[in-house]
Amino acid sequence: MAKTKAAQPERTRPITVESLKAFGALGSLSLPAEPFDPTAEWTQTYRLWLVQRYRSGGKLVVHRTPSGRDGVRLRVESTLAEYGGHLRRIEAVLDCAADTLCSPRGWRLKATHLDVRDKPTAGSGLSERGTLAGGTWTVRFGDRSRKRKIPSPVTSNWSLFEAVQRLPGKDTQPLSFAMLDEMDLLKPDQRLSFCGTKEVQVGGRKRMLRGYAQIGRGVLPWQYWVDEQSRLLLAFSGVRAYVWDPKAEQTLQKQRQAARSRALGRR
Amino acid sequence: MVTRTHPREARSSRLTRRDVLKAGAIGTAGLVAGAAPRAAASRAGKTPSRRPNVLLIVTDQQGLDTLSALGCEHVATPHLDRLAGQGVAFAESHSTNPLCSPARSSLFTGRPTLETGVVVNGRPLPETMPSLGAWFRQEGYETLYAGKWHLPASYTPSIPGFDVIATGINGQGGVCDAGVSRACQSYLRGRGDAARKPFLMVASFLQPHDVCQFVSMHAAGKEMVFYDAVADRLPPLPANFEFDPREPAAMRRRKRPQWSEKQWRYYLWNYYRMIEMVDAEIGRVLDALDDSGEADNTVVVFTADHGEGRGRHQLVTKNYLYEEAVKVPLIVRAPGLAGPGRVDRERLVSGVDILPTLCDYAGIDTPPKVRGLSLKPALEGRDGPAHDYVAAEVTRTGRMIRTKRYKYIAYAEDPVEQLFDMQADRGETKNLAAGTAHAAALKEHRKLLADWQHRLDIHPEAT
Repeated sequence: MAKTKAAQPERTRPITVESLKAFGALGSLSLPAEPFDPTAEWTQTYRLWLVQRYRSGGKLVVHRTPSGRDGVRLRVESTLAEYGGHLRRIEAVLDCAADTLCSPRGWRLKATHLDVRDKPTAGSGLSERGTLAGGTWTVRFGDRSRKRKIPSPVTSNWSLFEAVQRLPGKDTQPLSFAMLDEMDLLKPDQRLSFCGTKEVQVGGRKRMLRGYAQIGRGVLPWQYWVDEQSRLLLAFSGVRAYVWDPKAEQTLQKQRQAARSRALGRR
Repeated sequence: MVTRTHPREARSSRLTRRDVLKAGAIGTAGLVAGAAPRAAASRAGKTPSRRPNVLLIVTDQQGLDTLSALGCEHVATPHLDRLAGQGVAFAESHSTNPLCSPARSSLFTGRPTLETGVVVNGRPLPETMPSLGAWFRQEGYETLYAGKWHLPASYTPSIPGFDVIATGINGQGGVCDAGVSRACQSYLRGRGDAARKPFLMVASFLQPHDVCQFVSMHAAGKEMVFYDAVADRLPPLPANFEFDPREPAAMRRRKRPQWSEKQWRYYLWNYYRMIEMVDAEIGRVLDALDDSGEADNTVVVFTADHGEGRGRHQLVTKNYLYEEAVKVPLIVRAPGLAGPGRVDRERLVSGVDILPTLCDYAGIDTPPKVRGLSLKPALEGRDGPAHDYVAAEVTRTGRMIRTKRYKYIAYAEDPVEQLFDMQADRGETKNLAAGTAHAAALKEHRKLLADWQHRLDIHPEAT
């Protein structure tokens, strides 16, 4: 990441395709040459950029597998590097319908919170299973469960990373839905629609990106940008941006090692 | 602060079931299992601990009137509405110092910032001053902290008196608040049925503080990205958008005159989405508390460190003494409340009251020299001491005295004083200090301020 004075002004700009490009978040990407089929099996890895000081803050991995005639399985790993060498990780497996919104039907989720020594913090280690059926959200943990009615259609924040790669660009009709953030925080009244195209230099050549914007209750506007092959390259909202980057894990490990050295060195 | 016995029948109004359901139909009415604390306790088959648990929920930069249940039409806060419907909300709740570190120093010590010495951001609490975590821990509580601290470090794995279960990321509430709620959820769900110590948990969220990033990113106003889909949903400019230009100079620093009306309204729309984001995270924690079976025996306090300008007086962010920055939400849900669902619109309360209130509920002594008062008697409908006035400070030299009727603001090095009639002019648009009609009130409030300061043990670095 550039740390020159010339880069400073970018740090106070809102996240847009242009500001990400200006800061260099797109230039070093090396996209694969082979064709991409969003309906096939694939793995997308994203580096999480945090807008304040434009630093790296974690990663998101979404692995898609077709499942039977009408299903899709998403394996999700979301990792966030917190201050002091703490690490927050969520691993989830979502069984979804192969519909426009990749609507979840059932899921398993594990959340862990590790301190700088990779030791779980007090009480860390949440594990739950859930289902969505007939307008009822049910989650089970241990020998207990929680249920609630939720509006339909409903999808998840992670499902949208899959769904936008199958939308038809300018021919996309606006989609209305409710969203489950991390499969439990209900965000109703969402609307996703096509928001235009942009020609951007990515990985050494110009690419025509198609964009979709999501607006709704409990979220700052999201923008999703896919390339000509419908590969999702960028997703951003508020103070965060996910940028397609297969090296995100390496970046995170380096960052974590540095944080660990700082934190443990101080003690 | 001077105290007196408060009339038992404080003027209050009650949130109706309709108010709560209207704003939070899905989050509240839709619960099938684990809905009510009592039901959750019985489902888990647990006997509540003898001493109550404490859950202190703190948000950052959330002004008082930002809950749909309390009348805000531009936001949907079903989870805070649920809490308000089961608890008591205070409409005259004040930050002691509308800036992050200072306000937090008071929340955790019960002392004004002139005494904690934390009058600017990034200062530590005095080592010798008792604070919430250590005080409760020595009384046998399990003490847990998740999220923003800022005394001095914003995020740290080491907080005196607490086990830190989640740190966070500076300036990134939209990203790190989920870690705070997940850590709390995980702890509460996994606590187990065995009899254990009572817990004191602090869930300290950063949102809606990301509005600072929004303001910073859009300082020039040129790059604001608009969405046509929300054009008809943008909140209007506030009624007190215009202001008296003869203000103390410190008030003028955070104005955004270069923004167009559309930009102001879009800023407001974004701010309310941030409130909704943190409301969802709070819902996760409240649900987990229900699931733990401990909700019946837990005192839940929700408040914020300070408010946000929201265009009132054309101001953004904080660090001044108008209502938009200094008024913060305060909701208490506890066993034995008199009239849950009511809003106390009369009682003057302050951030220094949190710690003595929690001590009172826990049945433990209040640390020496705490300046706040326990709200427990009032919450239970009993007579008890009350403030005749509350004080606030800002930027080393700014001071505020708020009595039932008036609010007085003065900066040590600024000749402009302000006096507002808070019954006739809640938007603080007419400064009465310049005329002679309210000279007696002005004189009285100057004296209250001088007397208040005189009684404090002022920290050497506070002035």
